[in-house]
Amino acid sequence: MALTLLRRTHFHVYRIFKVGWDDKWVDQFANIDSVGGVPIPDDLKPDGPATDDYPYRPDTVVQLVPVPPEPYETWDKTFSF
Amino acid sequence: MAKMTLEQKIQRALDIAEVQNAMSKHAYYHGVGYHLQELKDIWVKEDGGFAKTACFAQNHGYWVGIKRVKQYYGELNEKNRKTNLEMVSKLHPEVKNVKENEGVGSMIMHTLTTPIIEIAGDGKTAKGMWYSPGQVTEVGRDGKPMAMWMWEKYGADFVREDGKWKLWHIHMYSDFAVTPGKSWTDPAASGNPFSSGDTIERPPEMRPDIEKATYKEWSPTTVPQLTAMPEPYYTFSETFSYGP
Repeated sequence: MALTLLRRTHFHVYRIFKVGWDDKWVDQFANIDSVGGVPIPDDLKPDGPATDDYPYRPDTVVQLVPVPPEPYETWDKTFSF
Repeated sequence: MAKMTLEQKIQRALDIAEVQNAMSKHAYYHGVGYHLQELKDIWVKEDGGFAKTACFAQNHGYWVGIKRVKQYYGELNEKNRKTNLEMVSKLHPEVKNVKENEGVGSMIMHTLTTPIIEIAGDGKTAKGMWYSPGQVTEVGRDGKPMAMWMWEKYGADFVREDGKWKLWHIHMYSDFAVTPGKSWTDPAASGNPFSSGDTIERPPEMRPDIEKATYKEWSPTTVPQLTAMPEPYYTFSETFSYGP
């Protein structure tokens, strides 16, 4: 029996909110990037801008992003993350 | 239970994955408030054989029949999205009161963990149970957003309808909700304002069809209850229901 290994080829992390444990994300009205994090070295920065980036803000509508996968036959019949 | 063939075991494994996928879709639809879309996609049909016995339940009662589920879980939610937008628009005039902004300020995550899924021996129904640690972000009466951590359990019955697993009964057992940074043992910070109606008006016609205290949130005087777990069964009449 042939065994096919499936490997991860695309991995998209959709950020939503990041707060201290005792903070409320609803107070995070400003830029989510201002919360801080690990600085990214220049040579490891993304090759392009983020797509489908909808961090929570009280004045925006959350989106069904990513959309749930649906059954498909071959890769060309579905979407890419 | 009769010994299963290899083919039956493979079908059982596929069914378990499909039931989990259906429940996960509930989580994603609920997360963005697309309840009407969820009802159309993963719940039993309005004109099908399970419509009258479909059920949505929370700690304090049952809404019975898919039309009632649609009214309470679907249409009331749509109304609340509109009302919330009106309030947010007043606070933030730059947020226009237009359809594409309905749902502004809301965000829900009821993640699914610790699954137990059982498929009936006859392959017609299934049962599942999950823990659901999560958060609810809603718009309060003053138009300002409210944030709560919320932990629940889900119990759900599924039926195979037109070859797909569909939600038939769902029961949300709420354990606690608490303001971020506070302890759920602090009475001033705990309690579920969303289900008790403090922030969302629930008109009389939207009260449960069967008002019954089915489950109690945690309190210092509450004894923990073991929610019934799915067990192997052959046909639905041999097991319990997460509906009424």
